[in-house]
Amino acid sequence: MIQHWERLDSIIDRVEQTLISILLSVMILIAFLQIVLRNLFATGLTWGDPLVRNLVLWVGFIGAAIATREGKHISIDVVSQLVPPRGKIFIEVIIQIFSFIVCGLLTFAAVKFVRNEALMGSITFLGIRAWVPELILPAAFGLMTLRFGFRCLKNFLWP
Amino acid sequence: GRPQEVTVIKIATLAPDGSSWMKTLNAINAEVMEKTKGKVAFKIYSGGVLGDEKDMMRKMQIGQIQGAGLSSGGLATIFKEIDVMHIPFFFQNYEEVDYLLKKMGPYFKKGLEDNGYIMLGWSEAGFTYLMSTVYVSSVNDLKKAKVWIWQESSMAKAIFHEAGVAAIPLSLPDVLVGLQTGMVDVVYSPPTVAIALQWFTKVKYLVDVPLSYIGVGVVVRKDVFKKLPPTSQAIILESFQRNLDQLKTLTRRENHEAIKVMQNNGVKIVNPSKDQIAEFKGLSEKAIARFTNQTFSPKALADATAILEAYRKGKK
Amino acid sequence: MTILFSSILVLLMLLGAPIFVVVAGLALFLLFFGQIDSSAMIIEMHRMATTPVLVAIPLFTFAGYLLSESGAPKRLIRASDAILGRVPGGLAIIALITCAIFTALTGATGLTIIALGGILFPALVKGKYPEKFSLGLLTTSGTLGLLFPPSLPLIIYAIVAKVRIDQLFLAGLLPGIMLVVLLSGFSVQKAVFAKVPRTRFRVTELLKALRGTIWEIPLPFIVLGGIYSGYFAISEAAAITVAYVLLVEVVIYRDIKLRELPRIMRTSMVLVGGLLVILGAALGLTNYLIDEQVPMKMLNFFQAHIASPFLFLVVLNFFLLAVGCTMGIFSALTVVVPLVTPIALAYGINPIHLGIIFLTNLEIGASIPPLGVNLFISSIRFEKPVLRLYLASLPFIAILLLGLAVITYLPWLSLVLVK
Ligand code: NA
Ligand code: NA
Repeated sequence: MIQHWERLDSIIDRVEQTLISILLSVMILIAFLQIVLRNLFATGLTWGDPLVRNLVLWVGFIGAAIATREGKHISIDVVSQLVPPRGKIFIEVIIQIFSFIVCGLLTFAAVKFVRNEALMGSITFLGIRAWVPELILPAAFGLMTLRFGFRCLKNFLWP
Repeated sequence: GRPQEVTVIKIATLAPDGSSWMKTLNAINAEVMEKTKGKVAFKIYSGGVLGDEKDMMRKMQIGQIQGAGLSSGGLATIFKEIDVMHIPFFFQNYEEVDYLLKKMGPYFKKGLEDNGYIMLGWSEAGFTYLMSTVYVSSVNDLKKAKVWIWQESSMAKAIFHEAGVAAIPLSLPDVLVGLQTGMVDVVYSPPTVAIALQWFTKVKYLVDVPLSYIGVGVVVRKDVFKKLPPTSQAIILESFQRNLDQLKTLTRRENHEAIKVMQNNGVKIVNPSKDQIAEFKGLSEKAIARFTNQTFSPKALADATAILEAYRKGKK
Repeated sequence: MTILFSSILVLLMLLGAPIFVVVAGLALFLLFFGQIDSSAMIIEMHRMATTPVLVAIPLFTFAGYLLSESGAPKRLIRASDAILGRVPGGLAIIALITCAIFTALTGATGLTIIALGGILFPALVKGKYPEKFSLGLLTTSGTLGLLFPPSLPLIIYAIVAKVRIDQLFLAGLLPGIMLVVLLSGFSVQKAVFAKVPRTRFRVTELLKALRGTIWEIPLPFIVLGGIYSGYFAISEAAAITVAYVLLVEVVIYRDIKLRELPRIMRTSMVLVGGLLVILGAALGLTNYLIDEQVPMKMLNFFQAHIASPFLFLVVLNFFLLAVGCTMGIFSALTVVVPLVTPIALAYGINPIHLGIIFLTNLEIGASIPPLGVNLFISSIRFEKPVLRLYLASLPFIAILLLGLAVITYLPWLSLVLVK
């Protein structure tokens, strides 16, 4: 099962890499275009700024999901340097279980959030329903939950 | 006997501590606590600490707070027909606003209630005015200028589009910088807001024609309100209506004084000719024709127009 | 119950649990017992992630990573060596200034130690500076840039405390320069004492070095000039910076190949993502604390026990140093600022001055033993035991604390440029 997951996860990761490259490029492009339009042509895209804000949301949360995959979340990580390897695995498993639970709860909360947004039916830029770009929240937290979960499983099975 | 049950109703508002709004809400709270003998109290979160209007609505929906002071724009996302109040150049003066609200207020209240919210009372931010760093008195002047647009306001987008004005979107905190650097030269807001955000230090002209109206209402979740004893409900409604009416009068005076402050700071008042005003209105009507059904219904527009026409006839 | 749970969380945090998980866990726990729906957390995260100014963070971070992967650090060091090599302690001053500029541009102190340490440490040792001094210098000066725009912590403080970014940017200048000058003075004294040899000043080398970095010289002027003159909003300055850095490093100098860009985008956005979830989780916790009116209760407590602003600032400084040492700069900013700001304002402290006090404390705290994060990054980068770095950084910390006292009790230094 873990092998299946790892194959799937590496495909997901390629999607993340592609998305982050494209979305960040678009963000830079639109942000720069807005400046050119404002200063040289005295105009601007009304959908430009909301689009850029939503791109920040996407790029940021995809980045957070990748940080989970690579174990690069900001942490203190001082005490664990002082414990022996066997204790270290034990500590890691506990931390991963805890992270799995918290991210699972956040995923659940994000699903509720998006459902409420769909009910409220507000609209963001270019007539797009606000809840559509917000789907990245449950998606990213869901992915983080899975990643913490499987990392823990792996540690548990092959310490 | 049974311990007395106290219902605490949490209300969020963007109004900062010490503002007339907060003073009024605090007065209402004291009054309601006294008259309901401590059965109902309000906990008020001021200054937008719980987020902007959208966040406040989200938090009302999940029940973290039970009520909020919302602009009529925010209320219109709960009940779309309220947007009819926002049509640019719709009103000529505050008497017309009051008359329209007297006639259509109950309809708006019912609409909000059908969508789960009780309207406790209505005050306002007031009319917005065009303010500019370059002389603007006609549609043609507007076309030549760099006009700021607030992304959140779809009505403004439609009318500037109709005018063929290439509007420049900026978020509220960036507008002051925009005025300073000449990125934009036309902005709009109620006079008190132009003072609070320091815009008045940058603009040179104010077009003395009410652009559009911004109301502010306090709503609470219907399920929470209906659980209160009927006597408490009546006390709350009466207190809010009376106090917010007073606040409305006060706000009008503050807006009036704000224009004077701006004048004292060297801002010139521009009075467009009748033809020029008619041209602005024509724009608005064309934009509205395309706009109805997206927000308010054709019927709401027809009703509101008829009410205003009747009022204007009656005055003559 | 809450205390037990909080203690477990603190333990997990010290054991290396991601900080965002710890903060989010605490917030979810409190929301559950406060009978508030957990989606309030997500409302806050979404609200934070779509704040208009926040656009500056991914843009500046990407630009910073581009710079750190390019030849810019080497060119910068060469040019400053050509200018300052003659001065006693010149190389040490160069290290201080380049680290400060670099941290300001990249926003991540760890990144500065990692990117510049590899060039500066061998250079300092080769230049006959004592090893202990060199280690201490590089460990502590990694944070020096935090007070200079457009550093990420300045932007984050402005967002969280809701103060004007352009004012905060101006306020950081003099205090930041003062800290650099203090440490430079110490370096000169150390260099003279250790009889460090000086290099000769040559005009030809200076011109060559300057010509080498000619395209990077305008960068600070574009960023800072644009912001200070009020010509650009901060998000615009960020977009222009990215566009300019791409032009210079990819097209003109060709230090970075086009095919390397996706990788750099990825590494930089991993940092942004990590920041964003911490910010979001902290805001979620703040939402609960505000709902429970905790800041107001804390204020009443403080006002009952501490009468003078002077004493309050002493307490605040010790508290913030501890927080900066344990929690790290970003988590501390997001969690602590909303709690402390209303209290400090009630003591009559100017919000802009407060921001500078905050950042100075946190920047020093990040190098303070036993838990300051810079010590560990240095330990990994220079392959030295942590204990050795504790000792090496002590004199530098002592000097920085002196600077902190000046910054805290001389508001003028922070506020004179803000008008
Ligand atoms: Na941190
Ligand atoms: Na940190």
